Amino acid sequence: MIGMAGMNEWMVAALALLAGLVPCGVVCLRGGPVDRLVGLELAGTVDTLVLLLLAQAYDRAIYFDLALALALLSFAGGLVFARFLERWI
Amino acid sequence: MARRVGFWIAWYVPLVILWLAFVDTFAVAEVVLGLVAAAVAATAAEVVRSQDLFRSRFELRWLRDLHRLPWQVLRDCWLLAAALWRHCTGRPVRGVFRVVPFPSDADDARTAGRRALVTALLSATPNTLVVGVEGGEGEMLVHQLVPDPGSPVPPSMLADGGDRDGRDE
Amino acid sequence: MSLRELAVSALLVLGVVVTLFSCLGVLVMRDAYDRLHYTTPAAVVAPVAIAAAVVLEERLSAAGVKAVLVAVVLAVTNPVLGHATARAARIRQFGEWTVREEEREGGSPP
Repeated sequence: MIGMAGMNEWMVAALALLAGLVPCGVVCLRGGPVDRLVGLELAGTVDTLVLLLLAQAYDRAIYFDLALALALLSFAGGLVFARFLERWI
Repeated sequence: MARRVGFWIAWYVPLVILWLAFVDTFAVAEVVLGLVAAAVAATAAEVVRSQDLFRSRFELRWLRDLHRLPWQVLRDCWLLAAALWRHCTGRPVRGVFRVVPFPSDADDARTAGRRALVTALLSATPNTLVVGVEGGEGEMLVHQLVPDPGSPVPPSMLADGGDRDGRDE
Repeated sequence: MSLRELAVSALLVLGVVVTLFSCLGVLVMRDAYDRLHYTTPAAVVAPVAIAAAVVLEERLSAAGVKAVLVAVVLAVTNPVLGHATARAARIRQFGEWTVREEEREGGSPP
């Protein structure tokens, strides 16, 4: 069986972190534009940590690459949004 | 030209090593793909660097107070937790903007590097966010959640020693 | 439970607690600048704890090295992103980010 992971502590930690996405979503729904950007940035960070934990839960080294890609891309995306929020949005 | 090749190689070798560390295998296809991908990335990096958009010099002695950073981060996390508790139990917390002295009147590459380093390191501590450094006035605008008296800048980064003839290196 | 397993669990708990604390802070604070402050613990403290747990479990294999790399990327990019967002918010609010007269004497609310 490929990739069957039981309920180990890494999985529990990833599930606990997923609950943290709800406050980020609430902030993205309400509040001004910059508040929404802050919620997005934190959601990106939480997602990266969730991917880290899931990679270890499934015990496949290659899943860590997803976390790295998300970390780098959410950084670049956040910078682009911040730049546009200065004057143009 | 030799300088550009030197920079290209300085990018290329760590990128190849990073690729090999990530794929964790020495299969021929992977290695060849890694060499090609690293060459593309090194070329892109060298093209951007040669545009000379931002010159900065870096001095190791600015990092002398770096060992204080982890403790400052932990201490600031405690400050943030206390502020969150105060905010939730009825005493709202508001951050303030503060002006902190930061001598940086020379407009050369070394000062630019020092400004960038201070911005990155200070913003890593949760309580302080650097908004900007105004070179002409020698001051730095920071935002602090819990007003912390004194200057958050590490002393080793305040000094602007060395030769100050303003020559751009 | 061996000492190593205990340490791994403790680090995981620390990472999760710090991240959830950051999420709560971002939700509860009222001002964008204050919310920004609370993104930092989740990006600086929590990845270090979780990467340390991975390294304890896997030693410095491919997984351990990659986890450390992710933690480094998160810890380095978050301050830059916070600085950029704070500056963008200030430019949006005032037209430019430079120091205003009333902020020179002591601290003033944004």
